[in-house]
Amino acid sequence: MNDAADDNAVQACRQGDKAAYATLVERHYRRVFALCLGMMGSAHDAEDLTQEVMLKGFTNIRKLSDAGRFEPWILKVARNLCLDALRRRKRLKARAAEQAVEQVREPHADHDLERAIRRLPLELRVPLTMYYFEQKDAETISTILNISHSLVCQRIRAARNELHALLMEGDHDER
Amino acid sequence: MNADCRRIRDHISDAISDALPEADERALREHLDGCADCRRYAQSLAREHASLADHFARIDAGMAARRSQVLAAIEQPRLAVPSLRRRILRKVAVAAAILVAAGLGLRWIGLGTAAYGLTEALEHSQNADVIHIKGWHLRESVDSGELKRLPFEHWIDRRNGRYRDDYTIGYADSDPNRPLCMLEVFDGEYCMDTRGYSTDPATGRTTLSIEYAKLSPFQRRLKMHTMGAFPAFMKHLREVKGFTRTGREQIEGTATDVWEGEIVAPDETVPYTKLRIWLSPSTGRILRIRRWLNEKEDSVEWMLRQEAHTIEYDVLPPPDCFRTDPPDGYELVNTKATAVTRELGDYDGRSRFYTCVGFTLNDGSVILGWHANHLPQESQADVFANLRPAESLPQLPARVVALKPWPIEEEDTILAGYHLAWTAKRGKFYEWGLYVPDRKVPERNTFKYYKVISEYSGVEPRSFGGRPNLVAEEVTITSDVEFKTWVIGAMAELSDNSVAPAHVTYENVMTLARQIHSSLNP
Ligand SMILES: [Zn+2]
Repeated sequence: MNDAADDNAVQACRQGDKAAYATLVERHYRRVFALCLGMMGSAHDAEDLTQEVMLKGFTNIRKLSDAGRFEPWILKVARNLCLDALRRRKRLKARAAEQAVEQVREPHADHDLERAIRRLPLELRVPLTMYYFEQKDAETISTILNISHSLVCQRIRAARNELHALLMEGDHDER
Repeated sequence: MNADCRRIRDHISDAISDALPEADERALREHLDGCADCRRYAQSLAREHASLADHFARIDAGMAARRSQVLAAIEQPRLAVPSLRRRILRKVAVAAAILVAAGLGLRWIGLGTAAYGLTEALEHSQNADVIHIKGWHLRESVDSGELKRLPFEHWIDRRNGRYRDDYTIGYADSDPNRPLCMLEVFDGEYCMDTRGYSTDPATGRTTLSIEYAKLSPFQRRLKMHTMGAFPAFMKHLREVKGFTRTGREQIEGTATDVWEGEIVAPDETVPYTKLRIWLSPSTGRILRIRRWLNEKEDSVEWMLRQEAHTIEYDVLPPPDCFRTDPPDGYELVNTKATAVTRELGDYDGRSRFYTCVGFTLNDGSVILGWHANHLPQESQADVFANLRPAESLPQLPARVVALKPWPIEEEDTILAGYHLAWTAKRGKFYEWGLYVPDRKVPERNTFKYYKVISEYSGVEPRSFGGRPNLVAEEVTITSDVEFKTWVIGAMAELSDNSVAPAHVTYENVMTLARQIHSSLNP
């Protein structure tokens, strides 16, 4: 990522320049989306949250103290919003447990695989998702998630084994 | 399962992630030879890896559309629908077939490698953030008729919405060694374009001129969305329909599939263009393209006229690549300060009847925006008053009454136009017609264009400064999110208050098209 370019864009955004913010969105959208996807486990939720993150980023850009560090900042915003959403989801789930809320799914998507991915624990799902979005580069993932390289590798390994077990388990109820 | 198996299973996982140290590779291989359980496990994991790659590639393929949606939401906050359920994934590309199975782990575990075909590869290349293409084309020299190789170079930076096109159209009459370098650069805001050249009769000196134009944010997104990966070779992916694989070749140590086919241009009986495309079936990247032209109307003499010999993906463009400061030695038609933003479809500001932008919907219907007014000083508000959706088109002096897919076998398929909506901007009125087929339209990728069928009521086509004959900038719409981004976006773009008519929604339009269609076929 070009920090200098981000720096300029952030400065311009602080003056309310929407076009400058658009360039930031274009540059960082994909990575923010990948993180949200990893955290939420569903493309729909990730889409909604990424939009929320990006809009929040725009209104709160003045709070970013170091203009050259837009990416870590926006990823943090994303992480916090996702955690909020996960907590909300958990509460909803508890309340509506017996009401059989059917999750909206992408048509033609692989339900078993998707469901298994959603059932992975958060700390495994995020690195596994990032792995496929970051050209399988554990180094980048370790920077984004701020964990060590070897921990990234260990989690991807665990994620594969766990996912395999979940897929073998077959048709059990979701979560 | 013995004590080794647990450790080996971590190795299998690492091998699939391409992270297994060489030292452990041998141990793994030996163990797999002797342990059927672990072999099965390895195969499952490899299959799951392929499914995961496929699953995420499908999601990834919708990224540009999602990003546009967010950009639109930022520009026009009322578009931000917090919990909008979108379905981008559905149609999404065979980009899926990426299956990244080429990774070390899978090869010797014995799963077949999923290979890219031509259309998937083109789509995949189309999705690269940056593409750099270098090559040459042949041009006759004006005086000697001698053929010369002239270089071209093209950069597309899709992520940041910029591009640059350098090409040479010939050599100056005054100096046969001085190439006439054309340049088109778009820096994300301004487009700098070489317009043409003139030769001063007194000095014999040839000068090229440069003109600036501006694109609105919507036009910019549309441009990036509709710009092909290899604009110098093909306008649209659908042109390679029917190409076949003719062989395999090595290009600098990379195994490639060679694909070949002919492209028939509209109104031609004999194919005019032949392409040969080299692509790596494992990475899905196109590595070389050659184009032959058929020199004479009824000959079959192919002549190699153009080649892209260097094609790079996701490389860093040189720092000044997309700068639009006027280069030395060019005459300026205008400056950035005086550059204008033309409305969609209004290419020269002179024509009074033109199509702005078209959209093909799932069911074969088309939405087409167009403008017609040969007396620009007159308001057309009356013509549009009281119009209702699905009724006849407004009584404008010129009208796009129907569209015709072309070329297709069944010559009679016609899409008749009905009023859908109208917008107005700066005193200009735009009709958005819904064109509904009277029978099933062939798949969009089986024909190349829509011909525009127009009607003039008592006014000569001439007085409109030309007549539209093909649909401009066509986008395929298969989902609500695409509809919002492109159709709603275009209507908002062509209205004074930047808002599309409220009744225009994906659902409404699809219902309307269905109703019209069944009234045509009772
Ligand atoms: Zn074993």
